Amino acid sequence: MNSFEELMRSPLQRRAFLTRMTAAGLGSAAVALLSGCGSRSGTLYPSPFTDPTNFPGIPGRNADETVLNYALTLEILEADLYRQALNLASGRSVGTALDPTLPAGPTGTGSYRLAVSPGGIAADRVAPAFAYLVQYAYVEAAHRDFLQTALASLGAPVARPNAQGYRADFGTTLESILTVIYAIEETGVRAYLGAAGFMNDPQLLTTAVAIHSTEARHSGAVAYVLGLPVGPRYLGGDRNALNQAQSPNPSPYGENTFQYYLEPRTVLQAVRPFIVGA
Amino acid sequence: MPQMTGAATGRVTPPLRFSDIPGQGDIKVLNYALALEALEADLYAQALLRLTGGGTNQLGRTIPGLGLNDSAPDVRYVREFGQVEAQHRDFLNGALGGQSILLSALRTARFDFGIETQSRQQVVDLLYTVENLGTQAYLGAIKFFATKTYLLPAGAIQATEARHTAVIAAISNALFGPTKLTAPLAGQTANINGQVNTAGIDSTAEPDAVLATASPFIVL
Repeated sequence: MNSFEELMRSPLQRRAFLTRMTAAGLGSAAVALLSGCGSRSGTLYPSPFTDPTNFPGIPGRNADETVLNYALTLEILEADLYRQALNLASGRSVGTALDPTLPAGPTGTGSYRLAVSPGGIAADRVAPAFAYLVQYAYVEAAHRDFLQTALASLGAPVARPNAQGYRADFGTTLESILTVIYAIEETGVRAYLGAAGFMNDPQLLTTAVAIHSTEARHSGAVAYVLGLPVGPRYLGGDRNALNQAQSPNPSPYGENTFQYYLEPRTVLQAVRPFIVGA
Repeated sequence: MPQMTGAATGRVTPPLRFSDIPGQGDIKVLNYALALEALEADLYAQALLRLTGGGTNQLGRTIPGLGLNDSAPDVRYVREFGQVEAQHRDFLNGALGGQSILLSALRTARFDFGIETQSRQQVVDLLYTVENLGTQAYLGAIKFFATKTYLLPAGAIQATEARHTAVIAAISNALFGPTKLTAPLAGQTANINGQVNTAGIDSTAEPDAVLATASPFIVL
């Protein structure tokens, strides 16, 4: 396979190529050249799903199903850890199910009330911090339920929760609880961004990216109440979206200019400590 | 460039449509994104002048400053996000090179938000509205990409807009009362290219609708 064929087969190779071309001032020509390649009637994109080892252990009959199951695997984990976090922050037993009453409005916390010390969270950010914990717990559960339903409606295999459950060391303050949540949200947004390129169906892709930006909102808001950089922020193992290197955004772009991403197999490895028995 | 004599003079009418955006396929989508990023970057520049010491916008109009400093959260983040939006604009403009909309349809474009008379709260409201619209605009444009070449950087910009939206909501709620959601709530109705979704996710916005909202701010 020559380098041009390699380029056509791999979206990441294409990106690296384009980054070099852009750096050389040839980006537009490269885009024009590539835009005519690989299109097929009936689908928007050429199939990029050439490496199933990117998603070890994730079920699916095709790329879209595999990415959705990858997302579901992460949302199951995320929703369960949010539920545990919310129970801890509100003084309920950690195993309690999410209360059926949905929180309403920007300050809504449903039936939940803060029952732990805020820790180091600034006094004027404690109420919104707790409201975000409540609101986002329901959102992550809704993401999980949506993905399960969507996969079932496709007749696809559906990823199952880990039988032994999930765990995290949340500590005892709202600050420590949200610090764990922050890490999970930051992983979630990177996971979606690193997997979206494998998808083919434009509607499923758009929906996945819409979940992705919701996780980004959560990350930004939680970072804000914790007094952390609101991002995008370069964290260990990240890849930047411009040249895919494990480095902050290349010059002249600031660290906080483009969201970073993680490759699926990296994410699946990173979340293992949260999976009991894994 | 026409002489500007009043707020409404020279504004784009009828509104731009997606069909007016130059290029085909990916080039068209990138030019659409660039038009929005150019607007956003200039909005942030004018918002910072308005909130702080004042100055003059690209139309030559004087913007009186409200005299806030960087200890105010809106000022701090308007400064930070404004630099980011300018870099988004520059990235897209550089990627498009000679095919950039800033060399063709928007060659003479300036932006008039009427910011010189807006209150602090109105400025923050406008930033929230525009960032939210930007987040939705990128989502609505995905289906128009002809290839995946720019999906990754476009997604990386879109997540950044989403972060900005959430943080501006948090700041606005703290300064002016809690009226803005940082993110969609579970059960809230989202629109994904016309398909209803209640999983608590962002909606798409169609290019023609986005351009209809943006056009009154564009002066040619």
